[in-house]
Amino acid sequence: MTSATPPTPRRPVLRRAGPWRTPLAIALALLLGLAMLAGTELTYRRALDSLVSLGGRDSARNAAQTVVRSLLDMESAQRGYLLTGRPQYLDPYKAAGQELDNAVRRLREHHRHDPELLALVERLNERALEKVSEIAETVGLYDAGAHGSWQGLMLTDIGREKMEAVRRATDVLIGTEERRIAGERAAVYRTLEIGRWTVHALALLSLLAYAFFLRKNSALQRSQVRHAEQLQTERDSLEHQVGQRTTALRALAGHVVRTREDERAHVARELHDEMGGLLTAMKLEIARLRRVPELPATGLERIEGIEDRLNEGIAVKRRIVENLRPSALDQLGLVPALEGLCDDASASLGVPVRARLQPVTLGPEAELTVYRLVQESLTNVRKYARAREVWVSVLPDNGQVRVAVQDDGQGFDPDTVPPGHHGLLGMRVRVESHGGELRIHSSPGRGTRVEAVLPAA
Amino acid sequence: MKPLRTFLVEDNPVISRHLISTLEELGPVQVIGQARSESQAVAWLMQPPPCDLMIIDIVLASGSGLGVLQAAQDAASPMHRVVLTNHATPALRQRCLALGARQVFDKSCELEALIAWCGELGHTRAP
Repeated sequence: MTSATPPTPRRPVLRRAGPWRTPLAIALALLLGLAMLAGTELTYRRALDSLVSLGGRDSARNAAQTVVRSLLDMESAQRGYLLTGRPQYLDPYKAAGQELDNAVRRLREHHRHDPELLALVERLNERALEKVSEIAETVGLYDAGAHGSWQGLMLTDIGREKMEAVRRATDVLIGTEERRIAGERAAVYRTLEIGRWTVHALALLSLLAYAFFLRKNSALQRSQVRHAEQLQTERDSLEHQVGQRTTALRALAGHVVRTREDERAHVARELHDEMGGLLTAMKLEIARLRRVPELPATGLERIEGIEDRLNEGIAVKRRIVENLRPSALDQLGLVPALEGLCDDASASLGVPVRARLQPVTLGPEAELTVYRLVQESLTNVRKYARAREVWVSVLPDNGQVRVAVQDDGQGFDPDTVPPGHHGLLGMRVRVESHGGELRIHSSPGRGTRVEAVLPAA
Repeated sequence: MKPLRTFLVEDNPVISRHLISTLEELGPVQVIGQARSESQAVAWLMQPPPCDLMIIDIVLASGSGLGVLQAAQDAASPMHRVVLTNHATPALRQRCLALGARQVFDKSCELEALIAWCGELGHTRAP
C-alpha cells in the first residue's frame, strides 16, 4: 500500500501580521480620536474667545464715540447757556461731564492689558480734558460777567481746534481699534479654517483607517477560509488513509481467519485420514485376533483391555477432529450442522435452545462463518449469560441471510467490554470479511442478541 | 455358502486393505470392487456387475458417501447399502437411513456389529 506524502510544515497564516501590530494600531486609533477631540475643542474655544473679544471691542468703540458725543453735548449746552444765560442749560452740561468720565473709565478698563491702546486712551482723555477746561473757562468767565473775555475766547476759534483734536484722537483710537477687530476677525477665520481642515483631515484619516481595516479583515477572512480548506484537505486525506488501512486490516483479518480455518481443516483431515485409518485398522486386527482359535481366556482379557484403550484413543481423536472442523457442516450442510450444535448446547446448558433454521444459500466460507458465529455465541451464553432460554435463527431475508443468537440472560454493556476479549471483535471481522454486518444488542439485565446480516450467495 | 458379492467405497487404503481381509476372513464376504471417490462409485453403479452389498464410507477423497447413497436410491439399485463412518452422529444416521441405507455403523465401535450383520445377511440369503 502507498502512503500519502508527509504533510509539509506550514507557516501559521493567522499570525503573519506580527504580534506588535495590534497594540500599535489601537494606540494610533486612540491618538487619532484624542487629536480629533482636542482639535475641535481648541477651535471652538479660540473661536469663542475671539467672538467674546469682538463683542468687547464693540463696546469700547461705543465708549470712544460716547466721549466725542458727550463733549459735543457739553459744547452745545455751553452755547445755549452763553446765548440765553438760562441756568437749566448747565444741567446737560454737567450730565455730559459725568458721561464723559464714565466713558473714559470704561475705555481704560477695556484696554487695561493693551499698552498701545491705553496710551491712545490717555491721549484722548488729555484732549477731552483740554476741551472740557476750555468750556469750563468760558462758562466761568460768563458767570463772572466778563462778557468781553468769553466772547474773545470764543472768537479765537480755540474751542473748535480743541474739539478737532478730540475728534482726531478718537479717530486714531477707533482706527486702531478697527485694525484690531479686523485682525481678530481674521484670526477667527483662520481658526475656523484650521478647524475645518483638521476635521477634513481626520475624516479622511478615519476613512483610510476604515479602508485599511476592511482590507485587513478581508485578508484575515481569506486566510481563515484557506486555513479551513487546508484542514479539510488534511482531514480528507486522513479519512482516506484510515479507510485504506481499515480495508487492508479487514482483508488481512479475513485472510488470517481463512488461513486458520484452512490449517485446522488440514490438520483435521490428516488426523482423520492417517490416524483414523490406523486406529480403524487396529480395531479390525483386534476383531480378527479375537477369533483366533484356542486363544486363552487371559489373552482375550488383554485384548479387551487393548480395545478399550484404543476406543479411548479414537474418542480423543474424534473430539479433536470435530473441534478443528465440524464434520456435519461438510457432510450434511449448514442447517443440520447447526441443529446438532443447538442440541449439544441445550444438553450442556441444561436450558432449551430454540432453533429456527431455514435453508439459505451461502458459499462454503460464509457457511463456516455462520457456524462459527453461532458456536461462539453459544459458548458466550454458556460462559457468561446465565440464560434460561436461548433462541437461534438462520433465515433468508430478501437476498440476505439473517443470523441471530439471543438469550434472556444477564446481558452486558457492549461499550465496556474488558480488554483481551476479542471474541465479538473476531466475529465482526469475520462477518465483515464477507461483506456482512454484525450488531450486538445488550444491556445489563436485558439479555443479549447477536445479529449478523450476510449477503446471500 | 455363496459369499456376498461386496463393493467397497472407502478412500483410506489402510482401512480398505484391513477391512477387505477382515470381512473376507470372518464373514461370507467377497469384495469384488472398490472406489475411493463419489464419482468412481457412481460410475460403477451405472454399469453394475451383479452385486449384493455396498459398504460406503461418508468422508471420501472427493465427494461424499451421501452422494453415492443418493445415486443408488435414484437408480433404484436392488443391492443392500450400509454405511461405515467415523461420524455416526444421530443426524447423519437419520440422513443415511432416509437415503436408503440399511444400517449405519460407527467405524470406531461398531465393526463387530458390521461383521455380525454381514454374517446374518449371508445366512438369510443362503436358502
